[in-house]
Formats: sequence, C-alpha cells, structure tokens
Amino acid sequence: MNEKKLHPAKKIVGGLILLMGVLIFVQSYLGFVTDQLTTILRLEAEETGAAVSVDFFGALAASFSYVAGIATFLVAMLLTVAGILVLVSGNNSKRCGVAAFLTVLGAVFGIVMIVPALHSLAWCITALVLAVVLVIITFATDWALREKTKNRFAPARVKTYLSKPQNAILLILGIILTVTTVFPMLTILQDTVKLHPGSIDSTAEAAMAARFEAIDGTHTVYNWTNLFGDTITTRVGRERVVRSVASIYLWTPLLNSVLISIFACFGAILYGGTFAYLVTRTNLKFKKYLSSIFIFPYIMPQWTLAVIWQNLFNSNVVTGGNDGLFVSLFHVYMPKWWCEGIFPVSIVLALHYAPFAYILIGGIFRNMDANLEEAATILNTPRLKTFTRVTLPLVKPAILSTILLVFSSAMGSYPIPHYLKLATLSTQYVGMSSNRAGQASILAVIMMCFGFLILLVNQRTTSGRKNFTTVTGKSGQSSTVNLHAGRYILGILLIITTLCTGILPIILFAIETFLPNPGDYSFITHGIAGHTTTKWWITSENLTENGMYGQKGILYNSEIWNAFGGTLLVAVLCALAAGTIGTLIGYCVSKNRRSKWAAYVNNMAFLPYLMPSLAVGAAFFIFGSSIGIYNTVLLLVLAGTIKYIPFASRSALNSMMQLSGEIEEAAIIQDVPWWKRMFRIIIPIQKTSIISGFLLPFMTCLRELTLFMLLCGQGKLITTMLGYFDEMGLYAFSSGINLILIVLILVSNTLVNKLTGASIDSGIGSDSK
Amino acid sequence: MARIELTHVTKRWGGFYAVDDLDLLIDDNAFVTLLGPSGCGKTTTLRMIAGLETPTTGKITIDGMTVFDSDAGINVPANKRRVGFLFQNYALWPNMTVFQNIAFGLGNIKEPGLSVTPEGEIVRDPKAGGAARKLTKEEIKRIVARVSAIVKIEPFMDRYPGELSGGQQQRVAIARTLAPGPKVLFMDEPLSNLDAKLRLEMRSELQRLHLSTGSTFVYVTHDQMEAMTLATRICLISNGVLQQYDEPLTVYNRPNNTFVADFVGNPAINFMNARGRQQEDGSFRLRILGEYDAVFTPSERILVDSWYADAEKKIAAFEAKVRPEVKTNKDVPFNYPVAMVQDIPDDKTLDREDWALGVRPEFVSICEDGPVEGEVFSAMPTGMETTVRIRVGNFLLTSVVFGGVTYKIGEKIRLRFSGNGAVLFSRVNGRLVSTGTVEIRR
Repeated sequence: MNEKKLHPAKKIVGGLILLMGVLIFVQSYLGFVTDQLTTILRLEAEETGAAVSVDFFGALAASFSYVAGIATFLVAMLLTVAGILVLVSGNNSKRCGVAAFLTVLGAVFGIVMIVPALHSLAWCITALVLAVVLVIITFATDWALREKTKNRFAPARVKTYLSKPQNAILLILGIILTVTTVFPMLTILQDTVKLHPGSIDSTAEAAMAARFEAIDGTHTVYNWTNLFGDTITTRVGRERVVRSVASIYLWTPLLNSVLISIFACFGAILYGGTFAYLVTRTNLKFKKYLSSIFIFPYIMPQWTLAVIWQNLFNSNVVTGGNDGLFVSLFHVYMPKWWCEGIFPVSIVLALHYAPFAYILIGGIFRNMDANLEEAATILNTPRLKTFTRVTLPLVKPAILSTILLVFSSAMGSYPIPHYLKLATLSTQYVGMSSNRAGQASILAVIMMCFGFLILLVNQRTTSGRKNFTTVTGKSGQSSTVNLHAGRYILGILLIITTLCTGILPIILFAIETFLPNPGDYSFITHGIAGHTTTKWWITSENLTENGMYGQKGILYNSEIWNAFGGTLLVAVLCALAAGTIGTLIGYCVSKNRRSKWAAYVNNMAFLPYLMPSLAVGAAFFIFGSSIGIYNTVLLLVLAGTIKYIPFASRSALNSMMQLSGEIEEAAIIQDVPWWKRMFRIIIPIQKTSIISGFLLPFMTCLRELTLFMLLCGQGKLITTMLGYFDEMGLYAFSSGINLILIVLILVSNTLVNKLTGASIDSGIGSDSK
Repeated sequence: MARIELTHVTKRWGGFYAVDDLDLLIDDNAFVTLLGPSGCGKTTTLRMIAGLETPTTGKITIDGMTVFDSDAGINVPANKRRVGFLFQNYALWPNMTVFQNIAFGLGNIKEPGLSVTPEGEIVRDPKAGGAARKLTKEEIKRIVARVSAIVKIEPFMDRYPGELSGGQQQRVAIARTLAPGPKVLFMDEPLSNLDAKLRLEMRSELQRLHLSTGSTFVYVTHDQMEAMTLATRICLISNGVLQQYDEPLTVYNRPNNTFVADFVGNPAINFMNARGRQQEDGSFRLRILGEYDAVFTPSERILVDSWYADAEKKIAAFEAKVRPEVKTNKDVPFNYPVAMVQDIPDDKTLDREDWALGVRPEFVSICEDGPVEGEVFSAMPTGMETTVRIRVGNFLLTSVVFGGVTYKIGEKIRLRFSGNGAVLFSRVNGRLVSTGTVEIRR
C-alpha cells in the first residue's frame, strides 16, 4: 500500500517500449513524407507540364493520413501493451487507469484511421466505452482493496453533511454547473464527427457510402481526416500551389490568433504596467483624472477602438471603402499593414486590455509594503536594482494573471480581427460555419484546449503564489519617485493618449451620426456647417430616397429600441442569475476551504472565464440548436450566466474569505436560521462586493458580442444589430448605437459607483484571487 | 444541571489526529480550562463539544442528552445544543448596534413554557405546558437590559461594534452569549486580544460571572497563568492527547510528566539530568549538576522495578489505543529543556538509571550556608519578587526570591534545594516517579 513508486524494471521496460514506438513512428513517417512529396510533384508535372510547388504543410498533409494512420496504430498498440503491463503489475491505480484509457483510445483510433470502412462514430464510441470501463475497473479494484473507512456513506453522515446549507448548495450547484458547462463542450466535440447537411462532409460521406457499406449515415470522421489529412490545389497565375486544408483553415488562423494574443499581452502589460507604476509610485501630475479615464477602453465595447481605427486610417486607395478622417483632413494615406492585419489588431487589443494590467498590477503596487523597498534602500541598493530585484518579483503574480486573462480574452475576441480584417481562429470559425460546420467545431475545440491550458497554468501559478505574502496592507506611505519636470511632460502625454483612447471614440461616433454620407467629412475640411444632417436620428417615416434603405431614424426606429430592450432584458437576467449563483458559490467555497468538492465547483465555475468567448458561444450554439432553444432569451441568458459567474464568484469568494467564520458561527450557536444569517449578517456586511458581483455581469452583457452573436438572430440584441447595419453600409446607425451603448455603460457605471461604492475595476481586481 | 461527558472522542484529518481518543468528564458548574500549546487540539475539542466541528468518532453528552454518537449516528447540530460560545475575536456583527447584537439571537427562541421574570431572567419550564411561543419585544428588552447591566455596557447600546474599544467589545460579546441563558458556556481564548491590564480585570470578572450564573464553563487558553487562576480543573492537552486532568494545584505540584511540569509554572521548573539508583531505604542516590551527589527522598513509598513494570503496561495500553502506526503526527517523548550556559548536545542512550529531577524556582533558595556554590548570571527584580538565574558550573538554575533584593551580576552565592516540592521523572519515558525532597551531600 505504502509503496507508490513504480518498480525500476517496469520503468525501463515501459521506457523501451515507448522509445521503440517513437522511433518506428519517426522513421516510417520521414520515409513516407519524402515518398509522397515526390509522387505529388511527379503527378502534377505529368498532368499539366507546369511548375509545381508544394508548401511544407501541403507535404505534411499529403503524407499525414496514411503514414500517421499506420504509425499511430503501431505506437498505440505498443502503448497498449505497455499500459496493460503497468496495469497488471500496478500499484498506483490512478496512473494505470489513465494509461489504460489513453492506450485503448489510441489503439482503436489507430485502427479507425487506416481502415476507411471503419470511419464511423460507432468505432470511436466503442473505444471510448472500452477505455472508460477499463478505468472504472481499475479504480473499483483499488477501492475495494483499500482499507475501508468505517461508515463512509452511512445515512447519518450524509444527513449531517447535507444539513449544512453550504454543502447542500455546493452539491446542487456542482451538478448543475457540471451539466451546463461540460455538456455544451461535449456537444461541440460530438459535432465534429456529425454530418452536416449542405456541408462538405455530407458530400464526401455520400461518395464514401457508395464505396463502402459500413457507414451509418449520421456520423463521420471526414471533418478530422479532411482538415488534417487533405490538400487543396489552387492556381496562382501559371503556378499551381498544393496547400493542406489545415494550413488554410487552421494553422494560419491559429498562428495569427497566438501572435495577436502574445502581442496584446506584451502591449497591455507594457502600457498598463508602466501606467500603474507611474500612477502609484511616482509624483505624476493629474493622477486622479488619468486613473479614472484610463479604464474607459475596457468599459467600452471591444470593437470601439477597432472601428475608430478604421474611421481614422482607412482610405479608398489602400483598403477600399470610404476615406477615413486622416485622409480627409491631412491627405495622409497610411500603408496597408497599418490599416489591417496583425499590427492594428494587436494594438487595439493591447489598448483594450491595458486597464486589466493597470488594475491588477496597480493593486499590488498600491498595497505593497513600502518597507520592502525601504529595506533595500537602507542597504544602499541602487534604485534600478531595487526595482528589478525587489519590486518586479513582487508584481510578478499580477503580471502572470494579466497574461493569462489577456491571452484567453484576445484569443476569443471576434469583433476586433473582424473589423481589422485578420483571419484568426474566431473569424475563421464564423467564416467556416456554413459549409465546413464540422471543421469549424474542430476550431472551437482547439480554442477550448487553449482555455484548459490557461486554466492549468493559472492553477499552478495561483497555488504557488500563496507562498509569499506580498501584500501586508500595512504600508504607511509608499515612497514616491520624483520625476521632476517629467511629471508634467508625462502627465500631458498620457492625457493626450487617454483622450485618444477614451474620449475621442465618443466624439467620433457622435460626428459620424451627423455626416450625410459615410466618410464625408466636408463640413470640417470646408468649414460648412450645412454639410451635416440629423436625418439618421430623427427621420420618422419610411423614406428610400435619402439613402437610409427604408430605415427610420434611430430615435424612431422600433427595431433598434426592441434590440435595446432585448439587450437590457438579457443583461438584467444574466446579472441576477450570475450574481446570485456566484455569490452562493463564493459563500459555500469559503465555508468549505479544505473540501475537494468545493475546489471542483469553484474551478468548474471559473473554467468558462478562461475559455475564449467564441468557443463558449460556439458550444452553446450547438448545444442550443440540438435542444431547440436557438434564438431564445433562455439560451442567451444561459450562456451569459455560465460565462459571467466567475465575475461574481471571484469577488464574493474574496470578500467571504476575509469574513471570519466566527461571525456566522456566533449566529449558528444562537439558532439563527440560515436565510436569516445570510440576509441579516453576511450580505449586509459584504454588500459592496456582492453588488459588484451583480454589476459586472450586467455591464459586460450590455456590450457583449462575441459570446452572443452565434446564439441569436441579428435583431435580437443591440450588439448583433450593429453587424446588420454594418453589412447594410449604414455606418451612421452603427455609430449611433455605439454612442448610445457607450454612454449608457458609462452612466450606469458612474451611477452605481456613486451609489454603492462598487465599481467595475474593483471587480476586475478580484480576478487575481 | 449541565454535565458534559466525552467518551473516546477522536478528530482526524487523514492521518493527522487533532484530538486522539479523548475521555473527559466535566462536572456541573465546573470551570474547566483546556490548556495546551497552540495547535494541540484544544480549540478543536471545544468546537466539537459546541457542535461547530464534527468528531470523526466518539460520543459526547451534554446535560444527559447525547449530542453526538458516531456509532448511533447521532449528531445534534450546534444550534440545537443550547450552548453559549464566546469567540476569540468576539465575532460581533459589525452591521448591527450593540442592542441588536444582543437581541438578535433572542428573536429565534421558540419553545413552550417560556417566561421572563421582571428582572429579565429567562425561565424555561417545559412542564408548564402551553404552545411554543417566541419572546415579545418587551421581554427581549428586559433580557438585554439585564445582561448589559451584568457586564456594564448600558451606555453603549446604540453604538456599532466599530465604535467600541476592545474591552467594551469583549463585554458586548459576553452579554450576547449570556442573553439566551445557556446552560453551558464555551470560551475560546476570550482574553487573548486584550492588553495585559485589561486581561487581569476581565479574568476576575469572568470568575464572578461563573459564580453568579452557575453555568458550566469550558475555557480554552494557551496561557497557563489564566488556567491556573480561573479553573476548578485544568485539562492539559498536547499533540491531541490528554496529558493531565486535575485541579490546578495538583497539576502544579504533581505533574504527570515532564511536559506538564515544564508547561505549567512561570518561571519554568528547573530540570536537572540525574543518574543513580534506588537505595535499600527507598531513597535515590543521584549525581546532579555534574559534580554534586544528592539524595532524593520520595514522599511515598515506591519500588523502581514495579514502577517501571506498571509504566510499561500503561504505555502499551496507550499505544494499543492510539495506533501510532497510522498517525502522521507522532507522539515523541517531550524533550525537556536543561538550561545551560553553553549547550552541550546530550545524545547518550538512556537506561533505567537515568532520571530527570525537577525543582520549582521557589524551592531553589539562596542562603549563606547552602551546599551548592554558584554565581549570579542574571537578576530581574520586579519589586515584589526577584527572579535570579544562577550559574552552577555549566548549568543554570532559576530561583525566585521574594522582596526587593538586589544582586550584582557575577556575585558569588550559595544555594540549597528546600521544601518537599521536588519531582523525579524517569528519563526513559518522561513519567513522574514521585515527589519528594532533595538534599545535597557534600
């Protein structure tokens, strides 16, 4: 029982088997790559007589399905043997179970890959069931062998456990969250092997069915084999280019996604972190104004800055479409890389998420014990060394959590790359959702994998973080660096920048709604006040001749106001649901700090937060369609609630952790019922953070597009309505809607802040745990 | 009235035993302190009796009612045990005024035969019959008035806890605990957050409170002085295991083992390593402090061999009970401190001729003709008494001299061991052999 380590001999045998498998895989794979490559080149040359070029992915793909099939099979078989060896001799049941699971899965997939007739879901399910059964048997044997704890599940114990409200709530919420979080993810996984009528997989499957008989007609692995195994030949001039499907639909967008995420992280931390340092640790001027305006870009809808970027720099010559402000005013034509693609997307994302970095890093700077730095100063440490060796390590945790948050958010962002025309996983998903629906689901699965990865990293870092307490909260006054004249220069520079990112969008949106035609800035360039119009606002009847395509002005347009109503309804319901559940989770988890189940529920609630929005949206889209609630408020609220519970649960957990357990125990002893304890003691004490737990989902819902756009028709929500007007070319309408949205969010944020003291930034701050 | 009985109560987390097989009988109207170093399981014990923590196994009865029994599957929740609990950090609800804090729990009482005397005392008489009823507002006011008068907080009834000083908060917490008239009162280090002077004052008030309420008090503390002065009985716990459960002076004078001897008493007892054997007449000839021959005369007749046999039986019985093989927190014998000028590690293997002699500082008397020669190492006069540390060879002995005597550091003095308060422990198992007198032979 005590010996958990594997016998060395078994280790060696296992290692050798694994090594052999890998060697065979590599050897056969390399052989086939060259073989296939030459075949392709020869065939192409014979057929057309033209020059043929094969890109790397093309070659890879050409050989992939066949070679990888055999190799996977071999490796899988060997691993199965190794797994069973370990299993039979096993003394660590967990490892054995996982080993068996993976190997059986691997083996059956290996068979499926090389035998086309077996391309059916039935085989995959068989593999899965087999593996699961094996794992269950392993664990059951282990459990039976282990010394049994007396009366582990005795009725009295269960009753005692459930008589505590926090346990009962945790149990119920755990089950509900598991179903609502895991189920959509499973449906999207299943969707990748489903036949989609009208999609390429159904055509391919029909062709396949003609050749083989053992095909069930509803499921296929074509989406996987095609995406990873097939090539597409395109003609570029006289040359024919063989490219893999994956390179077009997967690798390039994936690369772009990762690149913009990384750049956004760098940018956000550099900008937000520097700003945090300047505001908290130097004698910068205008701090108060700067710190409140700096978070504007985060409060505003994501696409605001992207749209503004377009409106500023686009030109008919370079990008097509309307001329932007720069061209109109100064006749400056910005190059294409400046207007579209990775560069602007990264910049806009970085600007949008810089407030994250500011709030998280600034929070630590603010509460950091000044003695730590002073101790270094006393020891005559140079200032730079103090900063790099003392200060930076202390803010490292904040930097890490910023990276994780920004990375996952940037990865799932749809509107920014959409407006600035970059193919990322999220835009590619939308592009593929009609005729490569199954493969789009594969993209969503890949995005989710990133989410899981980030969750894992997050967990490692947060558990290690507890090791040193940076924040004592007892710092008297932190020493401030004297910037001398720089305090004015930097202050003014920052004012200009923040004006551009925070106030300028509002002004520009406002101006847009008064232009007679999009991009017609003649009233500025020529100084003619008459070249403006109010028709976009106040037209009250159906007119076609004024270029409004029969739409009424914003103020009279019932569709717009209906969509606004819809958004408000969804936001309120989401806020209520997410806020309530999140608060309960925070409460229950803080009561059961040591329990594994509580940790599980907490992580389950946190998971969607680190999932890219688009992947969550996609999962709920497929989930909702399959149970017939697509385009209903119910689905929107469900998705919104699941995605935003973390906002509430984090801030609730944080505040509940600070509340001594004795406070509630004092009431328990006096036989105060649970609901009375909650409403009379716990909630009144922590009302600020609980309110911000309701407020954050509300605010975020108002401006959410990525999550919701797949889940409903365009007229349902104000954010999806924007897309409709953009497609119609009615940019004044979308500007008007943006303007109203921004003003609404800013006003309600200020209002709640003034009334309750809760604010959006305190909520983000609590993300850091 | 309220008698508390714990039988074989164990609380463990995995292999960590916070409380290991504890048997404890707390008499009605007793004032029992659970004493021990931090992390020894005393708070866990208290919380288990109160119902805030669930024991792993065992049985607890309060006032004849079984509130927990792992075998019978009984677990009465904390709110139904009708006990009072005074928390270390007071746990006053910051969102309520003093009055609301005290009255809040009273609003939940609902039982038959409830009445309140004009003085504000709750009278529970289930036999009086009638339907279960709640207390009226008027009654609650009367009760609050009574308990707030006991702890003298009437002027602050409309303040919030944040506007009170630590001592006042403490009083409010006591009033809140007293209000529903609990039959048992639990206190978890209630005085540890107060300053020294206030602590002394509250200590005496708690004693008066115990007298006037007539309830059973169970009191957790790590301060041996508090335990000595307040308790009718001390329950000393270490590493989850009960060490001694006796009246304070018994614990002081007849400590069961070296741990108890060292833990109780301030300044701490002087330990000396001794080697020697029992003589025909029952006394022990011992070599102590390096060069001195001493005779230890036990106050009762004992025979070393039968004593060892007896002790081994007890140890075996104990180990059979606690199953040390599954326990991650191991019970290692307490390593008592021998004060030395320069620490010399002592790692010799022990046999039955190794003893530990303990002499309390008040029995180390300084006198002109004392047989032991020493030199003043440090002297700390407080006015009422002076604590002197005396260097004898490489060893240090602590002595307490009453009255304001001044000593010069380095001064040569002579001393003797007086009185019959010396205690002899076996070094093999750390257990008490006997109390007695020590005489130095030149």
